[in-house]
Amino acid sequence: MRPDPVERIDARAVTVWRLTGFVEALVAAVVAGVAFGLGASGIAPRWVVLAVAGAALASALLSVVIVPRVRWLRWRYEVSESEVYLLFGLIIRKRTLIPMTRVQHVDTKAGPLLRAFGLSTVTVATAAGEHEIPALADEVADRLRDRISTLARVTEDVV
Amino acid sequence: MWSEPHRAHPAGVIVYSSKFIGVLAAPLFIAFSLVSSGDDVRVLASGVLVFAGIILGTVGAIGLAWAEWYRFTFQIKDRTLRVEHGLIVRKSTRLSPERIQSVDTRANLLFRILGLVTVDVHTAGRGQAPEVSIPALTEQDARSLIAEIKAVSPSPDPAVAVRVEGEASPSNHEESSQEQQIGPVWTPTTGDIFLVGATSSAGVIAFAAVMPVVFALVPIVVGESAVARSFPAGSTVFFMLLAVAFLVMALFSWAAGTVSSVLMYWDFVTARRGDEIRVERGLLQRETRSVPLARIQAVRLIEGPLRQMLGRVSVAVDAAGIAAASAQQVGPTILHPLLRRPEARRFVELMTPGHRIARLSPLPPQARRRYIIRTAAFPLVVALATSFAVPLGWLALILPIAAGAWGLFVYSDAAWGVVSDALAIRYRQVARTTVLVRRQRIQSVAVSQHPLQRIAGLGTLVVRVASSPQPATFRLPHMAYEDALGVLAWVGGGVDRATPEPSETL
Repeated sequence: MRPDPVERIDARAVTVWRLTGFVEALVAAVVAGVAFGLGASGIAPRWVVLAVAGAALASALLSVVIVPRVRWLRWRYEVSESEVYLLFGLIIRKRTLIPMTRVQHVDTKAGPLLRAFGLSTVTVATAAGEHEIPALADEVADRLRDRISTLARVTEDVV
Repeated sequence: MWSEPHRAHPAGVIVYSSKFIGVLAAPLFIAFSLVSSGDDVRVLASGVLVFAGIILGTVGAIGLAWAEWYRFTFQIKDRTLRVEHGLIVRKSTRLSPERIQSVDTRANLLFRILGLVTVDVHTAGRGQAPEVSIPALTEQDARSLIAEIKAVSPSPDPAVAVRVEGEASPSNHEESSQEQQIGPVWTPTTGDIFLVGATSSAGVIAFAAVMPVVFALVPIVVGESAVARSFPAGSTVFFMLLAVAFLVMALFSWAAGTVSSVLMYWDFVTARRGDEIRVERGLLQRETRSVPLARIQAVRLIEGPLRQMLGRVSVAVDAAGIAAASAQQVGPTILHPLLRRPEARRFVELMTPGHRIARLSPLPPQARRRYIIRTAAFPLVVALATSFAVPLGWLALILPIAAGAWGLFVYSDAAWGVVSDALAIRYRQVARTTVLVRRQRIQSVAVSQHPLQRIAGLGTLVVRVASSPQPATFRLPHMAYEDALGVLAWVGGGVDRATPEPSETL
């Protein structure tokens, strides 16, 4: 059995994901608010209101408190001379292996939110789609991008 | 002979004139608007105007087409294909042989009668459209031009060259003449081509397309007629008539599908010449496509249910960076529409060297349940709801039982294997498909596992391969997790080489 990848992504990823999760929680709060409104005006029965409010609270708790943390805990990557190896997934665990010889190009990218935290995402492209390593510190991401790019160049390229 | 600038065959004017149909429309439109605007314009005058419009438009269209044809010249000079073209925007294209991926020909019915072809020169990265299209050449000229392009092409770049492992030995009787490198040639018999048509899905598609239209039209046509009055909806005769109509429609669709497939696959020839495979086919519209071996990413052996019953397989390849197959055929390029199963092994080994049909291992027994649940779960929910809601609704429980049986069937077909340097995955959607991928062609491999799979020790294997026009993803759900990780390690070139116990062959 091949050893699991060891590198973690940046811990600030948790904060970023909490922020995006917070937006989702706001949507849930609106839904809960509508449910309470309907309950107060007597349109929806009491148990429906409680169920909706409970679901909204649970989803908010999940998307802000639990999911970002566990998602970060479960993300691992490793770049060796011959391959890029990823292991991630909250419930569905997914291992992805990209042979270095198949890498066509490597990019880093960062949206406004990631930039505010000094983070970038590394994208590894092959002839059959792209793979991402999310939320690495800018310096780490730049180094990783250059390293993969160098490694991918020296190996013989086969489409 | 191609070192001097050449023009295409004058029939190229016909090809181009279709581009200038709009030119025909303009004078006609002006003529019509003149006719309709003037109150006192006489009928005769208006006729003359319209007639003049048609003449003017036709002459204009042909004139422009002729000019475009006249402007299009090509030559091979300094090993480079030089093309001067473009009527308004003047283009001058230089194609070095290194950039040319493939040269294909096609001919419609008129060209077939005249013995002419259109030659399409494809380069990487242009997707569907050819880089250069020579509108018309005689078949003889086309052959000579293609031979010339081949002659100036360098031997394939070692980095891109295919590692020909299973190359047919020179002693093979089908391998002859080192000069021309004529390789194996396959042609289905005429009877087989009719079988291709009869078992094609084209009829089903036609039926599905026609039925809603018929159902919409029948009430309008039959609605108030004598037939409708004498056999009211709900009577026995009404249902019999409906059944007969349905059967006739089905037969008709099937016949239409058969004919269209036969026309498409007529006189199908697959030939390997050195490092490329050429496929020729079609009666009314004849096409020649070439697929360089170095571009082949995966080989698919496809057995539709009907063809599988008859012991027949069609073979297709995924190729990267070449023009996609013709408009009628999306996805992988068909190399042979209907081989006998025992023949398929030899066909694959001779046509696509390096690909082998591996011995396949079935999935572990604990995967069986997952396959049955996967297909039966949704129908079961629907059936349960129905049986509570509708009297006699429990009859709907047949549905999940049938779905479960299908799931079991899909499970029994799922298999995988690794032989020398190639991976084989077999799965069934409707057709049973066996995919052969060489290790150096796998772009990425993934193994995923959800909690239920973890309990059962299973995982889903996902292999991605480049293909035109879109990358291909092959999935094998519910492999033994250890085996799936073995394949992952094998792709990574790890020591943990996957070698399953061979237990079944295709």
